[in-house]
This record gives sequence, C-alpha cells and structure tokens, in this order.
Amino acid sequence: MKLAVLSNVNLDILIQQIQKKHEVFAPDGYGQWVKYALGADARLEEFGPECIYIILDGFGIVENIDGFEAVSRELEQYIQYISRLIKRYPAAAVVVSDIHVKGRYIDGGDFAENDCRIESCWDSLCDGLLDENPTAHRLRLRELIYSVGTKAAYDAKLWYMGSVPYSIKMLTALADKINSMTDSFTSKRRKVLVTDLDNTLWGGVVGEDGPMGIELSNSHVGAIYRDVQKLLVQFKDKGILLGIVSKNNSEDVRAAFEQNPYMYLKLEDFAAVYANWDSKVQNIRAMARELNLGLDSFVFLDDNNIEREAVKMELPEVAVIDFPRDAARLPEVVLKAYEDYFRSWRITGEDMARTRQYREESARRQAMQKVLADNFSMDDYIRSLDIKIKMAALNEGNLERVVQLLNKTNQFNTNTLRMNLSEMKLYAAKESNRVYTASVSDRYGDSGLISVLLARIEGDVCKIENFIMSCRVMGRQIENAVVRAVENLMASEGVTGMRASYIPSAKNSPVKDLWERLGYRPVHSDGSGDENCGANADNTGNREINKDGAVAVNYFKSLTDAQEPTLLTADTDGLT
Amino acid sequence: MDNFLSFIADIFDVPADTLSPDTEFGSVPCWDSLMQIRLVAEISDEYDVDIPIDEVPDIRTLRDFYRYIEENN
Repeated sequence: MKLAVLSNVNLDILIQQIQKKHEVFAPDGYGQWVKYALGADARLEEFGPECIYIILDGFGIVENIDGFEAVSRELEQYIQYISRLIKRYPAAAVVVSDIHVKGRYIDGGDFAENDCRIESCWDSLCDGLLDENPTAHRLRLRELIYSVGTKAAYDAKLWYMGSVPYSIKMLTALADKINSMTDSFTSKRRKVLVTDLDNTLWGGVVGEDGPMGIELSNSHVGAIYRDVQKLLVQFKDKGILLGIVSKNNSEDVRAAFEQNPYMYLKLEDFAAVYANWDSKVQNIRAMARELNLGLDSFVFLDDNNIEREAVKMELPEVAVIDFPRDAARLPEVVLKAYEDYFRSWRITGEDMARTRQYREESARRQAMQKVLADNFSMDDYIRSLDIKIKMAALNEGNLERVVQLLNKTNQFNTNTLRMNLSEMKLYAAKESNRVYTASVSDRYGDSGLISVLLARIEGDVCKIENFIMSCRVMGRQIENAVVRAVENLMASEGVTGMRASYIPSAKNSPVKDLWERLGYRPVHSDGSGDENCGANADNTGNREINKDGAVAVNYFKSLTDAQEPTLLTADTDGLT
Repeated sequence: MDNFLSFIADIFDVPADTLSPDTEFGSVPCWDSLMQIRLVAEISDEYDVDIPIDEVPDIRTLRDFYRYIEENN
C-alpha cells in the first residue's frame, strides 16, 4: 500500500519505521503538510498515495500562537486545507488525527486552562469534516498518547534537537496504529461471530448449574461475562451477525436467556442459534448454509481448546480467536477481535437492521423447507407467508430510497437505467411519466420499499422504462402482482397496450425471461409483431441495438385480452 | 559490545557484521543527522542512560555512544 504521512512536526523516524511494511512518501523537510495539502508540490501527486495520514501535534500548533480565539481560527483554516486535500485525492483514504495539547503554562492553580478547549474545538471541527467526506477517517492520537502515558509519550531532547515531539516508544505505538489502520482499509471484513456459551458468554455450565446458577453478574467474575455480552451487543449494533454454537440442550439455553436477569444479550440478538449435541464443525457449516454466507465470513469464539483445534483443522477459512487462559482478559480479547476481523469505519441504518433481516430470512427459508417437505407446492409456501404488497407513488419520504435502489440493484433490473436524485425528480415531474414503488411485508417481518417501476404513457400505450426489485424478495411472485397492479391502473387511464424491454447487463440474467413469464410477447421496437425487422434487429425480430450499443429485447402485451389472475395482489389504494 | 552493535544494526536495518565500534557518523548511508538524534533517543531508552544534549555534537563513532553505557554500569 502506498502511504503518505504528513505532519506539522518531524515524523521522519516514524516514516522509517513504517517503511518496513509499506511504500511511504518521503516529504522533503518536516512540517510541510500544508504545502502538500494545497497541491503546491507535485511530488505527492506523482507518488499517488492510496492512504494519507495527517498527524497533527497539538503543541506544534499552539507553539507560536497565543489565545484560544487565534488558535481556533488557525484550526478552521486547517479544515479548509484538509478538505482541499480530500478533493484532490478522491480515491484515497484520508486519516486525520485528533490532537493532544501538552501543557505549556505554569499550573494555573484553580483556574481551568484553554488547552482542553483547543482539543475539543478540533474534535468538533473534525466531526463536521468527517460527516461531509466519507473517505475521511479519524486517528485517535490523544488516546494513544494516554495509553503510552503523557510523560513517556514525549521526549524533550528529541524535540529540541530535531523537532520530533514524541519518544521512541510513542513513535513505535503510532507506527503500529498506522499499520493496523492501513490493514483495516484493505482487508476483507468478516460478517459473523460464532460463539460458544458455557464459560464464554457466562461462567459455568448452564446444563449443570441451571439458568440462575451460571456466573453472570454486575461484580466479580460474573461481571467479566456481562462485559463480554455488552461488547457483543455493540457488535450486533454495528451490523455484525452473532451466532450460537453450543453443546447444550436448547431448552436450557432458552431458559438461561429468558430467566437470568443479568443477561445483556437476548436470543433475538442472534441471527442463528445451534444449541445441540452435534459437532461444532457440522453446526458452523449448517449456519453458513442457513445465512447463505461463505465460511470465510466467520469468526469463532470458544473456551474449549479441542473445539478450537477441530474448527481450525476442518474449517480453515474460519478465523479462530485465541481464547485467553485468564478469563479476566476475555473482554479485551473480544475487543481485539473486533479490531482484527470486523472493524468498520462507517455504520449505516442498514447495518443496524442486518441481524433482524437475516433472522427473518432464515425463518422464511425454514418455513419453505417445511412446506416443501410436506409435499406442498411453492405456491402454497408463498401463500403461507401472508405477503402484503403496498404500492405508492414517488414522494419526498421515499425519494432517497428509490434512488438508492435504482442505483444499487443489479440482478432484478430490466433496463439498468440509473438516475441521481435530481434526475429522478425531473423524471417524475413529467406529466406522461409514472413512478411506482412497492413495499412488502409478510408474517416474518417488514422488508420495506423493495421495488420501483418507471413508466411513460404515450397515447394509449404505456411503456415500462425500468423495473427493479431488491434480490432479497425474489422468488415470491411479487413482481407478478406489481406489474399486474400497474396494468390495471393503466387500463383505468384508458391505456390498451403495455410495452416493456429487457436490456442484458453483466448481472441481470435473472430477469431475462421476466416479460414472457408475465404474459408479454416479443415484438419490434415500434410495437409491431409481424413486420420486417429493421437493420439493427436480428432474426428473432424483437432485438434492437440502442444508442449505448446494448441489445434491447422488446415486448408487448395487450390489455384488452382477459387477464389470468395472479397469486398475490398489490394494494393500490390512493394511486390513480 | 556485540549486543550493542546488533541493536544498532537493527535500527540501521543493516547486517550486524558490517558495523564495528569505530563505525563513524556519515560512514553508513543511513547515519545522517536525523539518525544521530534517533540513536540518542533509542540508546537512552534501551540502556536507560542519559546523553546530555550539549554532548551530542561530539559523538562521532559507535564507541562514543557505547561509552555512556559503560559509564552507567
């Protein structure tokens, strides 16, 4: 990885340390970070950094400026510089340190001093910067200085000899921090933490000690496990899936979670629970199938060395956490596992809802297996889900979601027509155009807005210009109901025929036969079905090459014929 | 002395047998003025010795550094 470390002080020793692992840009002279931020030196651009660290030393900032007001103006200026740097390197991760202002005044006695205000002023300026720039990140330099110890972190001799503020110990800690942050930008994030229960999420054995006899409490040894559970709740909130693989009776496990008052985790916090007497290797494999995730997404936590070795041996893709011999270190080990395997820099609302969605999905899959095992049909399964489809037009409340779906859906996307927010608004504002959305819920949960259909009315014909659906809800005939609802709405507006097309992309083969499946027949682009093809059409008669060179396949359906009923019906109340 | 030389070799990132007590400031490519101050800090930390700032300009060879460690013992 190509790194640049820019600073207002001399960090050349640090750069020497990181060079052992990465290709690092060597600034000429120290303290020149502003020059590079403003692009006044082309060497950085030629170097092409993938990751830029800006390490600001608090004392270096305030050394020659007096008074809080003057310092805060200077800091605001820094934010401008950094914003420009971020824009100059849009593909690079830009990591900005927070600052620690080392005391420089004689103790003010009982009066508070300004240094803390300077630190928090920079913190809030950075909050704003990070809010606006998704490629920007924070390096917690202050915390690092505290962990080394404020006295041990600085070295007066290095400072006076060479403008190096930090001690060798601190520089080494900072080099480690930069190396591990850099790794986290490039490494693949894992998705699931699979955990054992006995002596892992609580002390003791629930099958023997009972739900109230296990060690779990607000003090002493029980608090170790409470703290581990508190950490795992945070894991879940960051979108990491939790799974249980435990050799226990499932009733004992349920009783422990339901009855023990110190239990921070609830069974619902787990995306999958395997409490049985099968081998853990077998259970982890089953969980991977259930969650539809590769084994290389899994991390395994278990106090039993034999179980850990078995997983390492038979499932080498699974990462196995080194369980500490001293249980007191367990929370620290779990925290480190987060840094090593799960670290993410931004959390979205979708991350937070992930456990719930995976749980709902696996409940559906189990129901499907049961229905099919009982010799019922796929239609029976779909009926059993009790699916509700609610259609709506574009509005302020769903606009962002519609645009997000339009731009990230690849598989169920007939025309792969992308639009940004303002293009979408313009499209919807046209008298002839219609934007329909569909939201879906079923007995297992609410999937939210999952489908968008764009249509244009031309006389008595309606042309479907794009139809997309989230792959989460594919295979439930929801598309049949949505298209039928649109057809009915159109018919009520006097439309007699529907046109649609399919433009193949690298990923949308799942909808290759969609229109034929929905009763549309292949036709020429002008809607006629039996005339000679144009120059651009092939011999099937319904293909044409559009202006981007993609081959469009065109379809038509008459609305004057009688329509076969669909399995599901969408609710179009409120739509005209 | 051998331990000291291999400690320095690690910092210089060169094989230990390329260094001797008489290796001099400037004779190894990486031993520049920045490395000089880094050595002061690294040696002070590792051997818990104090090298006063006003004596640093007089240090020319690895033996000069080593003297502080000997004095300390």
